Amino acid sequence: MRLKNPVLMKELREWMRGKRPFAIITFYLLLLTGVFFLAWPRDFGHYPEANMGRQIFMAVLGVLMVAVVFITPAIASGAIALEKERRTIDLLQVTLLGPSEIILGKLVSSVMYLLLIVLASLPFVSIGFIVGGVSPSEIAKALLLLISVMLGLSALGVFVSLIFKRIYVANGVTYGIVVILTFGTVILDEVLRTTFYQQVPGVYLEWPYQMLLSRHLNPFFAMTTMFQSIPPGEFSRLFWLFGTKVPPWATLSLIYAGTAVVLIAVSIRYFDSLVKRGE
Amino acid sequence: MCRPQTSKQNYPSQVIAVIEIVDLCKSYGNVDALVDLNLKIKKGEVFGFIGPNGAGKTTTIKILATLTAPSSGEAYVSGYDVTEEPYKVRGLLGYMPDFFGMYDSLKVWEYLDFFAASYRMPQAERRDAIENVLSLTHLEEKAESFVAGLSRGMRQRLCLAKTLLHDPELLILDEPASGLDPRARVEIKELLNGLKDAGKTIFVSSHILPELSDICTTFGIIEKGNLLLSGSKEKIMEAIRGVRRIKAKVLSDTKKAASLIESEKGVGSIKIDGKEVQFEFNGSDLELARVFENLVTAGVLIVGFSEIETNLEDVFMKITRGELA
Ligand SMILES: Nc1ncnc2c1ncn2[C@@H]1O[C@H](COP(=O)(O)OP(=O)(O)OP(=O)(O)O)[C@@H](O)[C@H]1O
Ligand SMILES: [Mg+2]
Repeated sequence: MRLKNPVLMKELREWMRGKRPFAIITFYLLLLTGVFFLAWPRDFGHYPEANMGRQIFMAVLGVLMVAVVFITPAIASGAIALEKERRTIDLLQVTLLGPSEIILGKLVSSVMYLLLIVLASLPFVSIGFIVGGVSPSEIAKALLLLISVMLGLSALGVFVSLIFKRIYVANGVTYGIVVILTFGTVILDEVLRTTFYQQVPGVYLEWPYQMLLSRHLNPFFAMTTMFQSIPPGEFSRLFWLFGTKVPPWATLSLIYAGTAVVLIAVSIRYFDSLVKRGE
Repeated sequence: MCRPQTSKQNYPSQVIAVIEIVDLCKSYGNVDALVDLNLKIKKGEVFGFIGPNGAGKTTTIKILATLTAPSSGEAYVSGYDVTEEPYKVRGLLGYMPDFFGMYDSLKVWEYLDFFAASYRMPQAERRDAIENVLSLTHLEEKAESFVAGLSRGMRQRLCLAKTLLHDPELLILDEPASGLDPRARVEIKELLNGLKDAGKTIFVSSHILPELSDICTTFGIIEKGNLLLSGSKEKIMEAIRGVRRIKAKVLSDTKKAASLIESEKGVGSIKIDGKEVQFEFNGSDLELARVFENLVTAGVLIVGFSEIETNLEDVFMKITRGELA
């Protein structure tokens, strides 16, 4: 295979030589195996087969989403900050490589690494598939969601690493944003719900936009609601977005992929001035 | 002082210089790192850019390398404006920074291959180019070693090898010998000499003058962002000719000789050191010859009469101490 982008080629070489990428994957596979056996039903007799396959599938995808959400910042937010910290950025910049090659090389290498994690999980996913209870379209949806989240968070990491000089700052900021997107949205939604509920004393009036932030920003929310069958009453409240009926996984995929495109475009367009920030 | 440019210089001028810097200014906050720098370097010149710490050498170099934007003024490399056509400039120059890191987990040849690819060299040409720069920098047997295992001197040479990969016509080297032991310094110097012979234009900075005095053809002396003096070695010596010092060694009668010399036109401070009379002289060679003649006709027995060699280091110290305007 010939890779046209020298930055991507270099990143992959460096990844291959590093110990951390392998440590992360090993740890991830151990975790996945553990969860897999926990999700494996003990009393086969009671379970309809469809339910069993579904349960395994959901557990594996859940672990995969956790992995993607929490590993991506560690990988992507080092992209440019590491070059700055190691003082290699100047030499990189005086070459004929354009900002797009540098940014895309970094981004693609980060996504490739995450895809490796997805690939490593496929045996577990396929067991769920073989046992039954999951449709191919559900797998496709889940993959789409995973890849969008991967892209969105990778682009975020690369963008943050372009802005900050120190790698630990870039790391911290990216993880901070991820924590806000996951735990933060849940907490803020609860705050919104209770606040708006209390504003109408005496009368019970539910705020119509429950889970507003989680529904649009929280990857875990999108992943869990993907497989739930929700009663029609709940459905309307949870899935209807300002009158349009779009399921959370789709909204979120769109938002993450869209954000990725915007962040990549900004990183490329303003590369020179962003990379020199704080000089 | 530094003002925003109002009218653009007409460029190109008659002969396109490899480097042309016009009224270049750079300030960081209220620190003026460069003040109205003007400089022209022709093809094949080896220009030594000398100045103490914080003089503005690295700032100038980074502007030329398209890494830092000037506050005002212009800089051209082979006629291309560094701010307007950075990619043209990047293709023409090889830049070696004062401090740099390397990709430690790569092998030496992988490191070079990455840069060769980044300079858009076709894969077929890269192998030869890499072998070529490795042998130039005497790193052939290190090709398969990891960058992490190289010594400081080898790293410096590897960086130079990287700088030469795309065969740039202009080399901009920021203190290439800093932090090296004397032997490694000599090696770098020899390398530069070879490149000079190969016809490259070289812009090299240092805060130590003797390091460069025998390889450079021209010099610029900078302090606190001001270019104090620039030109050939001879021209710089000339600039301090006004204060050239002469020593006359006499057989006897040192006092008489001293008083005779003192009465001559153009003689400055004078001092007697044993059988030697040392004096500052500010005049032409002919006038100096007359001083000698007058001493001889007055019957002073002269054993030696010569100029005290002023080396570039003295000039540098003089200039930066402000003894010369
Ligand atoms: N990024 C920066 N931010 C603020 N000030 C800077 C920056 N870079 C350089 N300066 C200032 O500009 C002046 C010139 O610095 P420069 O690095 O060009 O000097 P130099 O001649 O290369 O010195 P040295 O011999 O120590 O390398 C110094 O006063 C320095 O403090
Ligand atoms: Mg410097």
